[in-house]
Amino acid sequence: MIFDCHAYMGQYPFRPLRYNHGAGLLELMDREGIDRAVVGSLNALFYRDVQAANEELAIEVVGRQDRLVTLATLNPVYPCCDDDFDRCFGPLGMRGLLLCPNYHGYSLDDDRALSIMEQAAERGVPLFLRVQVEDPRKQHRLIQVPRIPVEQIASAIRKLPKARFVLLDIGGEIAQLLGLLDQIENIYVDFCRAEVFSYWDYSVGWLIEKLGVDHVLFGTGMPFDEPRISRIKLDALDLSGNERAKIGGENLAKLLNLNSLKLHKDNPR
Amino acid sequence: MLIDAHVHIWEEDGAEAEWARQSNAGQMRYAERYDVSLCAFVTGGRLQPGVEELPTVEEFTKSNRFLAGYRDRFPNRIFPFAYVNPAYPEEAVRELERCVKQEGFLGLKLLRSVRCSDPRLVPLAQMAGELGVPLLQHAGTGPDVIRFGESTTEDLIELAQRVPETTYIFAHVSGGGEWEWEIKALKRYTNIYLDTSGSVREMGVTEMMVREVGAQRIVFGSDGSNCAALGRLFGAGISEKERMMIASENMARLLRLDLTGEAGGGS
Repeated sequence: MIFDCHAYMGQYPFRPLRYNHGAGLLELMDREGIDRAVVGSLNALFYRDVQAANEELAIEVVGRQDRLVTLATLNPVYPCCDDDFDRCFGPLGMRGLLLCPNYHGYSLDDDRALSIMEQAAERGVPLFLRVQVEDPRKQHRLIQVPRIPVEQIASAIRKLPKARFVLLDIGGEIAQLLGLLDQIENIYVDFCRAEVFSYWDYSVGWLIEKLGVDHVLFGTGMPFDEPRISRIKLDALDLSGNERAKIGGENLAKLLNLNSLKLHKDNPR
Repeated sequence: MLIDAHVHIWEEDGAEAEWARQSNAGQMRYAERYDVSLCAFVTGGRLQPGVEELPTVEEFTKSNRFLAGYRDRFPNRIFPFAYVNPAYPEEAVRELERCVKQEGFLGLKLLRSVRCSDPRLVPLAQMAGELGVPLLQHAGTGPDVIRFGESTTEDLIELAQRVPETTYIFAHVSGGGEWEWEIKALKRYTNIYLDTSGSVREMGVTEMMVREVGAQRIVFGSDGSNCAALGRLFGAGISEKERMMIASENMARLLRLDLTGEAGGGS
């Protein structure tokens, strides 16, 4: 089973996307041999009221919940975030909490952010942080969004030892992050920005060495990014079948407790 | 078979020798695994963001001699490209000529010692044209792409118009620049090819290149992002004919290679 920890639906304001809705994403997954995917909303990066984007996402996956697992994007400094939290993890059946402090203008050190992360951790909901969406070197000239600072990520990890953090689209900066932490057992990393043969120090092999094979996840960034890249990467790794299966999807399924999950079959509305 | 237009090989000496050996070995594993021939160059020192690269004549000559030896170790995998610093115009021209005529090098790589619109590049570009080898130029467009000595897309266009008989390759369309801008800016300049390399994984780049400039002017490249490069090539929604042109046929034509084995360019 290939289970992608890092997929999107919705629009991106600065270039057109294909496959960015429910049917299209499944078509792309079929093309690439990807069985399941964790999906967040791109619209949630830009809407002032992010809950509208969560509602759109929930509708888009109706009838597709066997393959698409949704993330709730919440803005902890926006009014009524607690209500949004209850709805997303209640009737909407979302499985992970995605925070985008760099797009929504707050720090992970903010008490309101820590509070919502703590609530998620207590419910066993993993926390997803999308460290970057678009490479900062090529962002729109009028809208430059920095990566989430590693110091903030490290601080949140230290303050929430019971939480499980999934770091999406993180690159070589993870070396700095790990250097700031004594305990790293609750970190899971999307391998989409690591290479296999590269001349740069940061590689999938390095991730496995530092975090362990149980903490590295198959991720693509599709349809913003080309999913074939991660399929080739998984194939290129010099791993046992058991290790490949873990990275390819078992680690993520376990993290989301999906082996025992009774998927929502009904319209979440 | 694939031909990768953009591969750094590092000199295996000095303080970073072990890192360089491992890095080079990684590129050779990639070459063997996916049956890739590597258009390789040694750019004198490890690349680090913000580090100025101003190699002396002795340094770039040493780099090229190392690469010649490395090619002799892997003759079927390494297609060597000379690397020089155009700040030394006469010596750079002489070194390019030596590399091509005496060592059998197949191309010229320029990085960021001098912006390529600088008049000092003219004799070098002319020599590349006379020798019949392509000039692979590090370049890009974007607010954070252009640092000291780096060339913009427009710098390369200026050079390509000034010395039109030479064939150029615009390096790393997926290298972090504004690829939409780069592709459209280069569309009309038929003596400039585009290499696909770089770490940016966005969907649609290869398709836009084919749509705007045509598959006949695109060459496969990785620049160390090997899986990203393979994914952009094999995942792209283009025809198999176009994919083959990008994968190896265009570069073979530029290097005057017979894909059954023999190099014709320069040696």
